[in-house]
Amino acid sequence: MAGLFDTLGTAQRGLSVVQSGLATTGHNIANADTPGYSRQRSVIEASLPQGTGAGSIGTGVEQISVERVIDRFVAERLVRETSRQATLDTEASIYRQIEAVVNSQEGGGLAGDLTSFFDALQDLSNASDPGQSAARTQLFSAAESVVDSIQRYDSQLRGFQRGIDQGISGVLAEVNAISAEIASLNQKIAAAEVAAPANDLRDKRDQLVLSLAEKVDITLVSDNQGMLSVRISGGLPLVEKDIAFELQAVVDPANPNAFDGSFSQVYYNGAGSFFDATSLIRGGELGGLIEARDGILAGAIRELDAFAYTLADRFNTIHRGGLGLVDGNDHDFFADLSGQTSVDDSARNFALSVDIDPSQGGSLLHIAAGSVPNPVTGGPEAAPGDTSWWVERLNVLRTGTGATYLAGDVPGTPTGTAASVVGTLTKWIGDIGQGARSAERSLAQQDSVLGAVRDRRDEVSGVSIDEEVAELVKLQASFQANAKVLSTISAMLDDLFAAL
Amino acid sequence: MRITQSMVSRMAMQQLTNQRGRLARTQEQAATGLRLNRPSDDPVDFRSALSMKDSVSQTGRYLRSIDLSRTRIRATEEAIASSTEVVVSAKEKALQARSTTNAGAGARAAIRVEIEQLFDQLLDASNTRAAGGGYVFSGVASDTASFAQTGTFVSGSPPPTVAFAGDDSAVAVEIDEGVQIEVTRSGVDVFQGSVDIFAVLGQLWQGIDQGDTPAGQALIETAIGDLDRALDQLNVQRAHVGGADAKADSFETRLKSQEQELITQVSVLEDADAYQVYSDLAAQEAALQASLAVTARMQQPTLLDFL
Repeated sequence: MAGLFDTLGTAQRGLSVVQSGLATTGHNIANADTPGYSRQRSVIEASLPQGTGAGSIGTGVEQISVERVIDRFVAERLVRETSRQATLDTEASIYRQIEAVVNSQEGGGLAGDLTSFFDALQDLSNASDPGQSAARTQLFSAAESVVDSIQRYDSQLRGFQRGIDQGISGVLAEVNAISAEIASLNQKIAAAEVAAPANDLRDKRDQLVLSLAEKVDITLVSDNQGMLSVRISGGLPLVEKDIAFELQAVVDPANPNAFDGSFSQVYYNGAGSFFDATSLIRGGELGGLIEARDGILAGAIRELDAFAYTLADRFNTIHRGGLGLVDGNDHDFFADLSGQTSVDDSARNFALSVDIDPSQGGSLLHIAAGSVPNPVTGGPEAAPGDTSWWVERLNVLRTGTGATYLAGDVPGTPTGTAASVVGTLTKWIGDIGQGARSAERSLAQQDSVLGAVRDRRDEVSGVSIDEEVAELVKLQASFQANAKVLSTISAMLDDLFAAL
Repeated sequence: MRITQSMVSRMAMQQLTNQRGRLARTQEQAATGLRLNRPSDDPVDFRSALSMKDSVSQTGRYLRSIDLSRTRIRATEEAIASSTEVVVSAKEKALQARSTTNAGAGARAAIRVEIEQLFDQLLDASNTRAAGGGYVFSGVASDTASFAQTGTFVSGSPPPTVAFAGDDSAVAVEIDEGVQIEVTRSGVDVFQGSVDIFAVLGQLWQGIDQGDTPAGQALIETAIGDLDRALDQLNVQRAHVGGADAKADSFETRLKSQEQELITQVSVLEDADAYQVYSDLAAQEAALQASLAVTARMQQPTLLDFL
């Protein structure tokens, strides 16, 4: 049989549960705008009843725990989609920069310089002054602009590559810092959860996991102690329970897998092993940066190289057949690059030939304008009024299809399908535009996917002020009711004591 | 579905960002007047526009070629025209000389001097230079005077001779794909073809110089016949030049309309549709303002407001 004091205890427990409910609601309201915060809920149940001869009598309420309201499936998706979004965002921003370099709509760019170069060639074939000195000078400066443009494109693209390479080292430092923090939180959570769920620590860890997912694609494994192990693709653990392993940027020119010896590779340093894990890195900002550096930019640069080589090769082949005003034929116009082991780096090495460039001891008189040896002197040089060489050949150069080099081809053995010089350049620019467009589109799509996942997360775990205020009202009423019980028993006890 | 505070504010921000992005695009199109501001705006059309612009440039090059060809065509034409005048005058003098055979040495001497002047005029015409200084009748040897005179007119001696010093060729330029026109004529064909006009003038001079002798008369008679043939020769050459000029004209007309056509096509590809852009601009601005107004009121009422 329960006594008055027992009921006093029931009311007192009721009050304390209400108070802790208030604390939870207050916590929720306070954190309504905290990023990554999951709303919490007091879990209460009726406390164990007291058995009496007349049956069991209730002993009030007790608080079991305070738990986070989360959707595990959404949390996992959020990690995955965040990673993907970071990759696409990185790639799209790189494409925007590349596109700005090659955009011919502003200032004409290389396409415009090539047009001026062809204009100058046409003018050379129309020059009526003996020796065509003005037309030769004009052609020379137009050719210099083409050379400058190709080299500028090359150095700008390589500059981006260099910047991205430095970015990779920066991201690795962040990854390591986050891994270390997750490992230390793992330890704290395991220690705390011996007693009760460490809700806020878990929220904090979830936030860190999301930050890590932004950097690199990860998979998660949790254990029964509440520790969370984080792995990157290939199963390499970044965090194993309370131990964090590091990724390091290593410049190793001897590494055969290194895309460019002067760039950093990502090395995995953990559990006694230290090796190049660059190819294992996927997703996140890191994956995006590596793809941008070794894939997108490297591809764009190598295609520019192939174009530069093709241009020099085709132009020289035609030019060598024509006659200059001294020494006859067989002079290169652009520097001969056929000594390279591959057409790579042709843009960097693109230049006017030593025969032509006065600053290298050449002479503009070597520019081929004529086709037959001077009939007056007997040759081998062309007559001063002979400007017939480029008649009909300019079009062959401009739109005629011929041997086209692809990235990495060996000089002398082009493997590309026959295309024109203008067509090759147009295709290069168009391909970059296509890449930029796809990246932009994928990013927009991913933005909406990620938005939907975030919405779902907020739908489940977000704080709704309405709900919390309703809860407050309820708790207030509950507090009043419990207090009433307390005061009623107090009055009864007073009566009892007065009767004594 | 639970709607929470963070969802509402994120959605609103996302909307605003999207709308601002769209508006920025449209504003850019309105500012530049271009639909294609960068390759990714429409990679396929961008490529087409680029290669079409290349064709526009090539058409422009041919038009320029035609422009430049005109200076040499004109110079050649004028040289032939003034040579024709020389020949016509020479024939008049020859006829005079024939009829004044008996009129005395004084009149013949005057005619002889006039022939000498005509000879010089012809030599000048044959050594015409185009703008830029090239000799138009020297073919590719354009820095060499086309004709060189040996000897001078001395009464009683043979007349001076003139030899061709240039290259026996005409200069051709390209005025359309695979189409060439000759902008000069071969000096040999014009002045020393089937008729050597210099020699004919020399002959005439010699005939007049020899005075009233049967040999002199015969020389004058032959010269008169040769001058007629010289006139034919010059006319044929002039017709060639006129033909090149006419061809240049007709190609110019055609290329200009072709260029216009191409420019129109480029414009269709890369220019923004002004009406579309301005109406989009207005619509998007209105939408953005509405969104801003909504966002400003996003601090939506909660239950608190009613307690």
